[in-house]
Amino acid sequence: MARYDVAVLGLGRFGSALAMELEQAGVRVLGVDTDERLVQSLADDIRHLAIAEAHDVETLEQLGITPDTLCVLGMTDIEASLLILTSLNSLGVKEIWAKSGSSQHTKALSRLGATRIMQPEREAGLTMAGELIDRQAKG
Amino acid sequence: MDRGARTPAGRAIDLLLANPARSVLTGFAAFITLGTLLLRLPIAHEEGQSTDLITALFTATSATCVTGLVTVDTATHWSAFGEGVILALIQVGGFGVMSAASLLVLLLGRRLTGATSILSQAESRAVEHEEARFVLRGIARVTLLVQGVVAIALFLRFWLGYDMPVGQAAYHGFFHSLSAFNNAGFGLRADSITPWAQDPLINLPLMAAVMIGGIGFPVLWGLRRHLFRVGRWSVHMLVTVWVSVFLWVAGALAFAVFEWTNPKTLGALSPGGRVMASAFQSVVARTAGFNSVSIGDLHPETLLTLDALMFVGGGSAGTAGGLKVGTFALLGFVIWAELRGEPTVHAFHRRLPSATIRQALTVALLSVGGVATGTAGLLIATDAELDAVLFEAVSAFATVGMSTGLTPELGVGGQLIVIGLMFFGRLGPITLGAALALRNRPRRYEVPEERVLVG
Repeated sequence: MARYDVAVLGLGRFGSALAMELEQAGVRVLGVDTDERLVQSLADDIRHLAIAEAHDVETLEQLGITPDTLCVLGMTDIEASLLILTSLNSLGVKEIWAKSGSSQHTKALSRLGATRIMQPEREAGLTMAGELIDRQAKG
Repeated sequence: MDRGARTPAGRAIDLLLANPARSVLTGFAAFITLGTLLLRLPIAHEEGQSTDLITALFTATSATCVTGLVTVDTATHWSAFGEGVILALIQVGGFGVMSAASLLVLLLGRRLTGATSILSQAESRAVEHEEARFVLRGIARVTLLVQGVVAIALFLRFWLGYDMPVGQAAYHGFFHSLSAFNNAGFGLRADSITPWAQDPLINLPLMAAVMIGGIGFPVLWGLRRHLFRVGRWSVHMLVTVWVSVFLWVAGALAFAVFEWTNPKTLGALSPGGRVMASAFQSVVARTAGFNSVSIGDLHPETLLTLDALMFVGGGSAGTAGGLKVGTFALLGFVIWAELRGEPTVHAFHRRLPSATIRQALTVALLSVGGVATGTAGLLIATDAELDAVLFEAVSAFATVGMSTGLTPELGVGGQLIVIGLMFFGRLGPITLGAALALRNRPRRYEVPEERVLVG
């Protein structure tokens, strides 16, 4: 059995909110980031945290990530995001969800086999546009 | 394949480095087994005696682990052949532990610092073998030189001063010199060297052999190169030498103060003899284990002082046992740095790596645990008082060999506990130190900090 249900790699505003929510829901979640102070600041809210540059398979294995762990890539940095995605593929991880910062990033992620891609700014923009259109139609 | 790997020494070195803990432990276990079998032979004991398995095992372990605790009197129980076996085991044990530890220090040091990285693997192995042979030759030379000189000094004294026949004097000189240099503490009399307690010409050569054997090969090697240039000494040398000197002096002072008027020990000697016996007892507590006064008649506070000296033991990669002076001193430096609120631990203008400090803590606390467990076991197995039992356990664990007289009274269970203490006390700190130093699989991540309350 996998040690963690979900691993969140990259704990910015997106990743940390996601990880905390999962933790509170009782999901076994691992949070990873390169920024030691950021990780330290989350220590009270999330049980399993690690400070690591998780670009290679060896590090990912040491972190306890197995093919059954659902991995979420929370970083906007395209280079890091794609490198980790490649390593996760080599490790055989089945479910990899990713956050994307641009449409090119989205394209690259989907080429490399990310199973679910979210581009939060775009999706938030579209959602807000939807709200506005509704309001226009009523008014 | 390079040339070195095909020689027996080369293969032994490869084996040692591949798994230090296992090869050292099995090597010693093999020699103890061989010694036990040889001591069981009918020609190993004097006529009219008989040797059961536990006695043979106990004696072989005590000799190989250079301890000196005995359940039967060495001179009256064992034949010339048996004593020869014991001497051979002491020599093998002393040389074995000194060379294994020295090689681990040398070769692990090279591997960990990556000093060989510019060489190809075959080249660096050849260099390692070359250096290992160099170290082994050095140890063999020191052993022969010191044992030879001390044996001759003792022989002359026994022959000229005590009217012993030439043959007996030579044998006494050889036996005691070998026993002293290897920090074994086996003697040829039930009362060790008590008859010669006041004779400086016996005491001083023995003390010199114990000190030189016990300070460790790395320090001897350094002293040879920079004897009078203290500025060039490594931190390990500085720490080992100064702390050893401090412990010798402090131990002798404490011994003299506690026992000065005890009529059964120092009180029976002349003032000069009291000083001599105090110094001797302080030196051999770390960890040779002769005695020139009766240990069983010492005050409890003296026993506790000796417990502490025995537990600290001698220098690393020497024939002495115990925790080792360097380990003990490291913990002292840690305490000093902590009390002063300093972020890192310094000694003699150098920063001590935190990995070393953690190794010292591990070895020290596991040793305390080992002695405590052994003491508890012996308390169950015997009717003796805590002070005698604790002394016995520390003496066995630090491979000292002094006893308040409890050893011959031990039953089979008690003897097995002491055998275990001697074996793991002799080999535990070395193999553990090497194994810990080798376990350097780098961790590719770190986890957040959280404090646990201390104190």
